[in-house]
Amino acid sequence: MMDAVVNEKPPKATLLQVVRMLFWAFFGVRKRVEHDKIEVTPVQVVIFGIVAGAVFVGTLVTVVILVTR
Amino acid sequence: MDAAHAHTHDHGHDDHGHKPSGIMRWVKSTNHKDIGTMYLWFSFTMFMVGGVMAMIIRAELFQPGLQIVRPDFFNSMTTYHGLIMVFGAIMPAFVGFANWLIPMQIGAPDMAFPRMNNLSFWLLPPAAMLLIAAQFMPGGGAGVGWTMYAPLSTQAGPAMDLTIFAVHILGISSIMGSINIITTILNMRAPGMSLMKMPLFCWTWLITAYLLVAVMPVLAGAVTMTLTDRHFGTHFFNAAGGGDPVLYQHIFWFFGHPEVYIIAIPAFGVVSQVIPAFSRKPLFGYASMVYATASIAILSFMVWAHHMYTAGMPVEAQLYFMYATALIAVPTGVKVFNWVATMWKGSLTFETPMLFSLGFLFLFTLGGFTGLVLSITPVDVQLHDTYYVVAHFHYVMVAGALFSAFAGIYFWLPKWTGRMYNETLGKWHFWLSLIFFNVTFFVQHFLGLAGMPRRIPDYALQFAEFNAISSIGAFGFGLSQLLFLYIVIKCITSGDKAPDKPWEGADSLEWTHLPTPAPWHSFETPPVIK
Repeated sequence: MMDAVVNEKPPKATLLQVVRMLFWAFFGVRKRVEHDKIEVTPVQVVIFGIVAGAVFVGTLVTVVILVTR
Repeated sequence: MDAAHAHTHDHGHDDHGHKPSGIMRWVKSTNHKDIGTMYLWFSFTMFMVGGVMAMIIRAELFQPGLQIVRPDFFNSMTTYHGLIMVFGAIMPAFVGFANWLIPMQIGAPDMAFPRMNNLSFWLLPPAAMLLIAAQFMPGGGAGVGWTMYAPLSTQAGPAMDLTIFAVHILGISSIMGSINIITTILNMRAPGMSLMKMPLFCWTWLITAYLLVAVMPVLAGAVTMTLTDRHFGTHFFNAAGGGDPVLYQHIFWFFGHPEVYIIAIPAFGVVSQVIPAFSRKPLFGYASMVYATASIAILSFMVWAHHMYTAGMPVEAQLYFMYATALIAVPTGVKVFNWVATMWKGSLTFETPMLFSLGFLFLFTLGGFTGLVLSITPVDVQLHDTYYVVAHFHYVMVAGALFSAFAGIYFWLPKWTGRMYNETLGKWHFWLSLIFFNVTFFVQHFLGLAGMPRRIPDYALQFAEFNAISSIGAFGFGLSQLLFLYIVIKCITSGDKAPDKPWEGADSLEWTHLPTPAPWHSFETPPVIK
């Protein structure tokens, strides 16, 4: 859907796109296509970092609860 | 990046003229290069002081039994060796790199707060003096370990108060340095130098600076509570008064684990400059390196209790910290993969900076693997407080951080001094360091697996051979560093004149836009980055 946009500032990204891109960043691997298409602001990065940190801890705690039940 | 050499002409007049001379040039310096130089010499001095303490430790451990020092003095040596090496040698070394390089690499004229920069440095010598003076207090130095655990720290003699004050001062210095680095990077980049165009070294320091701002106050809080427990009737860590010594461990390691990355991440940054330069290829996966570094920094806040599995915690907590710790291997693996991929099909040459970077790559990875071993709770319960842990963190701190610092010093020495070091002697320094480092610390893995505890001046007879080998290695390693001092002094005084860009693969602004040696003032007019 982004193919029409060339030589312009990338359009405002949807929440899903931002989350997807930053997820890969958090994992430590970049998907080139994701990056070149959207622009992410520092505020989005910081909010994602905090949320992803909480999700990370939450996931592990859930796993721990499952294995110790 | 090609707007280039036009700027270099502006600097000729700055090189002479209003540069202050004599001792006041250094005392009142607001110049990022002079302050960087002072940081580096300070850190080398403390490296020697901490090194002598290590020699005392290894001399006593050369044979079983007590031969050379008293046990309480031995405990003091292990304590201050750790504190001085972490806070006095390695951290200031990388702040020295940051001061010298960040303004040049982003095209800024200086750091954002030059006077605060001066204060950040000049707080260090008093802190160092306190740590050394602690040895001469009644009862000698505080033999509490660099972790300063309660109740030892609440019961230690007056040396502990000097140590606490030193930690406070070092923390203030680090926080001010970090504020300076963050502000410089966020506000003073040359036009066109977007964050994602910065050399990776600047990125690693930006992330490290945030870590420092986040955790140094936590350490300050921990040692302040220790201080009030000692003198003002509080019972934060005193079980008899309703406090909890394990609380100290939690607070300390909430600082202590990010601290590991505060030391390691700038080292990653240096290696990420050196390896591409000698592979003659751009860094593989630059963006993923930035993200992996940020991920490591975030994760470093969530794993602290893996240092205290044996202190007592619910099995659920042990499992959580085990899983979380093991997962740090993912972004770290991304970084190691990227460094290897950078070298893949590159035109490699093996000058001294590259050799130290490769030494870093091999041995830091080994230290990371032993870290993974220790992250497994049931294994750690066996290995906790043994020489396996000592071997593990020396692979990370010495072969990781220190080797990376050596790589950086050899890499940028021509830019800093205008002269080349002696390549043959540099290679000797590398090989001697590499071999003696492994002789010292590889055997300590086996001592730990066999059950030898750390922080003891005497040990059972079955550990004798490996301890003798380790001590021989340690003395070899220590003496090899005198060769390093000789190489640096010889380079400064009589090295061959270095060209503007001695490394053909180097591509950051200090190589492409500035003459050698870098002028006292650079980039008064910002370069334009395309």
